Amino acid sequence: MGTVYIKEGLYEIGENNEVYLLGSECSRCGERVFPARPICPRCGARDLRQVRLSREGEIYTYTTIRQAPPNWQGPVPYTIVVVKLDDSTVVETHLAEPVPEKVEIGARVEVVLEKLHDRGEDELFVHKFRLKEQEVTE
Amino acid sequence: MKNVVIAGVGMHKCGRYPQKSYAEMALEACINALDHAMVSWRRVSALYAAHVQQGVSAGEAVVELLGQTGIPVYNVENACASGSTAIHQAYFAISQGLFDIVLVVGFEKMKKGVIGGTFDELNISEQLGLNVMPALYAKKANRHMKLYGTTPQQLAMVAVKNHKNGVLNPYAHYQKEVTIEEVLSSRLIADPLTLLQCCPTSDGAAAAVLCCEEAADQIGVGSKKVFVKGSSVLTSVYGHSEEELTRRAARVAYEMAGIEPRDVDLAEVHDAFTIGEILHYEALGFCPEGEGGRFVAEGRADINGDVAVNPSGGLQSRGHPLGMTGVAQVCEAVWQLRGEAGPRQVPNAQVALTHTQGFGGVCSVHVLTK
Repeated sequence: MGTVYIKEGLYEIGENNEVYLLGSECSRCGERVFPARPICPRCGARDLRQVRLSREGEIYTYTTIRQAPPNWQGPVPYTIVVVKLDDSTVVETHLAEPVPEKVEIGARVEVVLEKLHDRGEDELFVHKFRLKEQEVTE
Repeated sequence: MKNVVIAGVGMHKCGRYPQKSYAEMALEACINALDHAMVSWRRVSALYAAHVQQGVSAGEAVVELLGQTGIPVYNVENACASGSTAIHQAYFAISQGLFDIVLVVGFEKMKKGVIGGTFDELNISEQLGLNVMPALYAKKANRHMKLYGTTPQQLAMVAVKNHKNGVLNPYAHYQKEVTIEEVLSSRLIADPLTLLQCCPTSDGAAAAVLCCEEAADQIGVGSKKVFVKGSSVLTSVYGHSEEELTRRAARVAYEMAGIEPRDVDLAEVHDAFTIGEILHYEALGFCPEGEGGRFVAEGRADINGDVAVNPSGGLQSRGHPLGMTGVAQVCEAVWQLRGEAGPRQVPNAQVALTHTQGFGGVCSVHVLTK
């Protein structure tokens, strides 16, 4: 029983065990994107460098999926969030437990690495966002 | 550039037909369209076949039943915008003088359940379970509700309106009215979208005969001519929303046709999920951004409203056989413009718009006029 990932090179673990998403930053226009890729999606430049993305961001939107497609191997329901990281990168993935009654657009989150579901004998670990402790403001 | 006419249209009623192949259903739609146009299959110079999940050479399988005359067959796929893309390609081929009479057919047989994914198993979004169609729209709904105060009741009204219209459409899969209460209390699929806010999975087929104006005159279409005046297929620009994509695709079609949104009498738009239709009122220019919920709540999208949106019952009640929809929208537009829509006839229909959008960020808009 081992830990597997979607692919190599998506994450880096910091000195204090904090998780960093590894993305691309364009040398020409500065656009950051996750996952990394060879061509800048904004300006088309080919000179991209690997960067650690911001660890925190804000929820842009969300939904809770209650009926999954036939090949889904994980638990249902599951909540997904679209997050704009503090460095403007947009990343979409699962909201880590505990999932509140009502997910708030604008809520602050941070990146974590958590199990998604089993994959054969192994456990598939992926990046998720966990809600940060915060004051509720109107 | 030649004028392009739609000489005839036909459909196979949407529903579940476990005993019928896609080719048999497509054949029925094609025969109906050819009969409506009063044209023989032997006069057709090319076939455009739109379908998404039917497999290899599906167009050729339909031709095998129509009669193998040796003409070009083009299989067209652009997700939910496949049918519209096929119409778009046929339009340009005729307007450039490549063919005089073509047949466009869209068809699909579907499995039950949510559509999730593109079959690209290595894709990260796929592995994370993000590519679930209802979820894509549910995310838009939550944002629209937060930004503009759109209510669950307003979302449900799209389903209520379209199911009511579908009762009057003999080709619709579901022909039963629903109430706001029933829509909102049906099972949640992807919050806030409930089952009755999602289009059903259906089998179906639709076909249209397109030709140049000279051919239309030869065939004898006469005063029943419906012209394709605007046609666009575009994809998303990085970083821009799908709503911006619809705005751009509509602008191209409006400019080609020389019209404004207020000139549109009826519009068949992509209401795969209720929030979709609300967003489309805004993106197509029927109301200002953020006002879509109020637009439907005030009856302005009804058959007798400012612009009749989805008089056919839309994807919500007609169903959404993926490859069929764009062509079925054209069928409805033609019936409406020819005054043949019976009890769901939009009064004084002169200008019609069709709109589909597909997974991956693709959109197609057509403008048809008398």
